[in-house]
Amino acid sequence: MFISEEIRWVSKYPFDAKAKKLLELIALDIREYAEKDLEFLLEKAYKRAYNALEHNYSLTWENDYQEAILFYLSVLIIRGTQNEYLYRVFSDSESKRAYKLLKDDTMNNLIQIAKNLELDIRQKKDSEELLLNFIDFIVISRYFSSIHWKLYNFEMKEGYVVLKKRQLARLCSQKIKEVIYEMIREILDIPEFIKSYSNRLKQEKSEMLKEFQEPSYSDIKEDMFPPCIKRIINNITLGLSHPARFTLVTFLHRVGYSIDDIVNLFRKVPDFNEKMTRYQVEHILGMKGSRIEYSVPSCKKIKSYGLCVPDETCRYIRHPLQYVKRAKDRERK
Amino acid sequence: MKKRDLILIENYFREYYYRNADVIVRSIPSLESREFAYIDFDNIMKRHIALKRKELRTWLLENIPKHFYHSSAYYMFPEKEMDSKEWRGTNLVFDIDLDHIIGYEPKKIVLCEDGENNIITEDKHECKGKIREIIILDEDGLLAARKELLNLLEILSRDFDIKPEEMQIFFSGARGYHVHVKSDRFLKLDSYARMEIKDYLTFDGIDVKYIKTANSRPIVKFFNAILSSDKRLKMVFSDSEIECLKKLSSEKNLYLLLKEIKKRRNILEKTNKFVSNFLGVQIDGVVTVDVSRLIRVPYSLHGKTGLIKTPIPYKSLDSFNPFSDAVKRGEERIKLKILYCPKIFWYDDEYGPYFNDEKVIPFSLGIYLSMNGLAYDIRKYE
Repeated sequence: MFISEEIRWVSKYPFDAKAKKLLELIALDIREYAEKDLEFLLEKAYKRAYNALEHNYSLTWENDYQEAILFYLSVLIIRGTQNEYLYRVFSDSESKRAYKLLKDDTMNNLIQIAKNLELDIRQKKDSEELLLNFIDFIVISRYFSSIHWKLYNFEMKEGYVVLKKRQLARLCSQKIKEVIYEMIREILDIPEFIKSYSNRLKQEKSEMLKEFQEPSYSDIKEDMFPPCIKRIINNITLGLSHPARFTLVTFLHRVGYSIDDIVNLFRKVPDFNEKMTRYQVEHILGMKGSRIEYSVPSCKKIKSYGLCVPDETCRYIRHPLQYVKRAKDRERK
Repeated sequence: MKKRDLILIENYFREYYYRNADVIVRSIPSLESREFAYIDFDNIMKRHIALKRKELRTWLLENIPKHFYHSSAYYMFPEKEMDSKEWRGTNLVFDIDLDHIIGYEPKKIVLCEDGENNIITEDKHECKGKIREIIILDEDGLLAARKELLNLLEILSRDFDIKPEEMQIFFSGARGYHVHVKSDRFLKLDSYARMEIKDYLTFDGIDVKYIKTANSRPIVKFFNAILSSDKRLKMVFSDSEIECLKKLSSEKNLYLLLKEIKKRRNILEKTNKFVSNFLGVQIDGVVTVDVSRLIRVPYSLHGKTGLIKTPIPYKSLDSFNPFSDAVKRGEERIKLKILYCPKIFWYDDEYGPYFNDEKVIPFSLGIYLSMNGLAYDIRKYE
């Protein structure tokens, strides 16, 4: 590969293991970016970080080398905010950018990225069919709330799931989100001149942060919960299955329960253990372990868990949170 | 059950474990990382037991379990409470049980237990005491369970690439089969991942509307059901709908079939119903999904039948007969009062039918009947 091609690769997929190595070779020492004549780069990196938080990313750029550097500088700026929520929004947005690039990239490049993400991927000879080890598939696809991603909706061959290019790109982007998130967290030292940009970002994004801290569904009452959630709460004293626990925790979190509120609710569980429960709740909410915040399962998923007990309103919704929204709208009228 | 029958059964179990403890010890991989549990002859469940390989034999003879289980999981501290066990992995296991097979209607024997005299009755309403429904595993039941088992094994091998030598097949000791997957590949999968595997097999919660791949298993199976005029189609679809489906399949184009089903709301809903009710493998999903499940120990006796949880070599599946292959062998015979015994092949001999009769039969058959409440020990003790 020519060096220009390699730099092109880094500009597209800066999170990739191969890209990281290359960048270490070509980037300047971090302190040199504080020099006056490179300040414009920091401004641009700031802009990139800001735009990413708005889910506003561009898929074309003029200078590959600069684009690559900007990614790393923006990661530093995000790290400097010391704010978990911003880490997550940034990783999410960057992974979406990667998805858009991957799905239109060549088959070979996509497979290369998948391999670098440690996925067990094969391409059938003389065919467009991609084969992904089914364990990789189920480990990643669980983070997608859409029922489309149930394993039984796909064709399986000898332990591999048959995928189209776009589907593999989507699965890769989920892994990429984790990689970028870890990348941010792994950085320990943030130079002072970067921190000033981080603080500026926090200030300019204060509205967004406030929104995150205050639950979007304040003033909601338990009688606005969908019947499946009510039933899980009623059955709490009997002990809950994993899917029931998972559904309940993600749901309560989204409607504004604090971790303490949720843990308190679980006190009624027969084998209650505070330390364990707190750990599990934090795990589900992405603060421990895999550090991925799971979303509230859709009605389809809840149905497949065998937890769905629909009432009239459920006929018009596809997601349990829509139930709450409808209940609130009714109350306002 | 009367005390003397209980003693008879317990002695039978004791003698069995005395002779077979070593086989059991050898059959459990990673024995010392498992949690053991048992139900004793007072029907009390005890669990969170850790055992060393060399002490299992003594332990077995001291405790004589009526039901004997170990965890499908490996733990750092198997003896501790659930939260402190420190999970290390779980074998992938599957359970096929006639109780979970839709479409199989077992013949039930109604036993009316009113204190002293138990009687077999035709009419439940005549019984003034407690009603107990007894199912004796018969040829039909065995065939129904085996059909599901073969279906399961085929999918595990073809779709999941689990090799026959990685699978251990057992007769459960009652009315079904267990499959233990020995491969390490699946050890670390959590409940969510196992649920995906379970759903792939059972089609729980399926909605054809969301399927984009025409070669996915639900569509292929449905297509085959239409082509072979599966009788069960009539249980869900009207005659004209079946005609319509046949026409849609006539070009042997799965993609076209899928596309057309999605267009027709009525047919779509019924297809979902048909696929999830009839085309999935009928396993007891909880056993597969639960990562801390207790499963019956290989070669242990089943506490409701006295039959052995027996490994079955893949190639002997068709010829396996629980009443000769899962029975404790021995010359010993016993005289019992038999309320009822259907015609039954035990080892290689035929017994029954017996009604209210005193008979000398093989000890193991006597235990089987007696555990089902169908026979009593009436010997006089000095």
